[in-house]
Amino acid sequence: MRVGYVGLGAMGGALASHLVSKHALNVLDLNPAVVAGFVERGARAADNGAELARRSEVVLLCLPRSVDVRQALFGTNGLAEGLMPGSVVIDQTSGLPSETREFARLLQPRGVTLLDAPVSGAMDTAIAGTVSIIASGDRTAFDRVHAVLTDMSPNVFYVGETVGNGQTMKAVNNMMNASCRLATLELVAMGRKAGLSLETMIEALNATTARNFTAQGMLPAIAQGRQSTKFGLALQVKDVYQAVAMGGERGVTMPLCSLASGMLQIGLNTLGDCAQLEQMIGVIGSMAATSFAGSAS
Amino acid sequence: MQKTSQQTVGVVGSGAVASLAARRLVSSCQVLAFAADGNLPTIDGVERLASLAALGARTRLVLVADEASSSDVLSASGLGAALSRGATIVDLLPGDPAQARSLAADLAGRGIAFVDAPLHCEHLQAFPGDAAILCGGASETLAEVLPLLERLGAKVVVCGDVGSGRIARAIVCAVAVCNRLVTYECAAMGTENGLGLADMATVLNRCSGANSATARVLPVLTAGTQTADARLDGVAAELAQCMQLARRVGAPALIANQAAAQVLAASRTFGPGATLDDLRSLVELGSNIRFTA
Repeated sequence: MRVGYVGLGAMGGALASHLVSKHALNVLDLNPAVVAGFVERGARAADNGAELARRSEVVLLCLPRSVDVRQALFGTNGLAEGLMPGSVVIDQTSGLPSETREFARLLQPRGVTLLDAPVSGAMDTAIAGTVSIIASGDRTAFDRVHAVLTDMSPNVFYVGETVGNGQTMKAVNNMMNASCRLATLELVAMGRKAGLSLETMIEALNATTARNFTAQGMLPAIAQGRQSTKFGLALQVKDVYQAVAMGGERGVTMPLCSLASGMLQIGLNTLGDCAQLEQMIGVIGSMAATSFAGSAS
Repeated sequence: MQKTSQQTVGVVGSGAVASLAARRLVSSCQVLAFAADGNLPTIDGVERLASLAALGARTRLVLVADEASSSDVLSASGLGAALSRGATIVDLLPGDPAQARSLAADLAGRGIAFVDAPLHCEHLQAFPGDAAILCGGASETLAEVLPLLERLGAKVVVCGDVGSGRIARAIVCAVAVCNRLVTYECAAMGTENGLGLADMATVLNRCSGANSATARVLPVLTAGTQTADARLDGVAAELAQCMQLARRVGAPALIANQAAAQVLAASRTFGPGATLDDLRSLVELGSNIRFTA
């Protein structure tokens, strides 16, 4: 299949790397060195979006924000100028569902179908080809491009005909993860101050209905002195604010999630824009004046 | 199975946990039961006794789950006075860890060992699924009682010295409630933005948003199936104790404090018969939605 990929950053690059040997891959990115790396592996560089679109039946994008997707699609020499009727655009950006739905509406008169298919998972899972891909949009179009998605990972989920549902699902997942993470960390910090070992709490939490992704993954990593996550804190704050805003727009009260979002913002304000989510471990520990590993304080 | 005098165990209390303990042990132990309020359920093979003194005369190992009158029975002057030196008391209910340490010291003066071993189980009807007994006590005492506790069927976790079982139980309770409330909040946000609960359950349980509530509660949210029988007023009281512990040790526990307040509000709103499942209704009311079909 003739495939185009726009946005070869950390996540986009990892995803596109699974396509280079399986499809006639056209690539576009602002970083010429990254593009050159793909060309060396057999991909073909495009000078602009319109050119990439003219060569592709399926175009994927993975960009920082929806505003970047809008520019890539509808800016000068953008994808929309070259997309052929019948082609499919797959937006893998962690974007705003309402924006993505608008992009789909704008492309529809050209005979172009837009799906969203953001990913959920750590960078190493994207590199390994096991990241979760959460897709939504027209079912027929989804079935047509399913093989392209499974070339990036077999873990593909389809969450409905409404474009943007995939991004909504990702927001729900991120919010769930962040809120349970912070709640678990602050209570484990309390346990540390009260004299329990981290290992004991890991065992107790995972034996009960207190079990969650943090108890299963992050806490054991802390106990073993390993890094547990590689994710920018600023991106996490963006994601959780998006989730809380989506709730607010629909009149859904989210007190625990809002509190978790505020705590992440405190962490970002304290640590700076380059901070990593991993550093929230230290923030939560400092808030309780304790440490997670070592002898209890 | 042969019942020997070495396997004689006392069970004190009349609530669900006491009944469960008696039922689980009766096939392998001689079980003697006493309830201060006299409301002991009839269980085949369990011998009901009329007083703590009668119990103390025939056993050196007593499991206590006295939901009705803990402070009277579970004391050095209550059960402690009825037991002989060398006996051991194991408390299966949650409580204040400081009170556990104080009680252990009082009982030690009478030569009686104490273990705090609260059972955490949101759904006793589904016992032992996801249930755990979180034990605190002297290591030599724990070594003696662990085989018996393991016969109850739940996972047994040794947490440290006396009081640490109650601390661990408080943390487990609070994290579990946060798992559940966050799941309800996010499910509400998702459904109001067009997602199906079944899709959410499928994806979340394969992704980083997974927790015990996404596994057990979310898939049956539409049907309104029961997932817990733990009473909300009891959970509210336990969370209040957990937050007291947080203040005592100087831990802010911001999210847990908010969760505790919501559980208390739900308990007062929905009354004494409410269970953890009714937290769903709190979120429904707050957001003016319905999860059930």
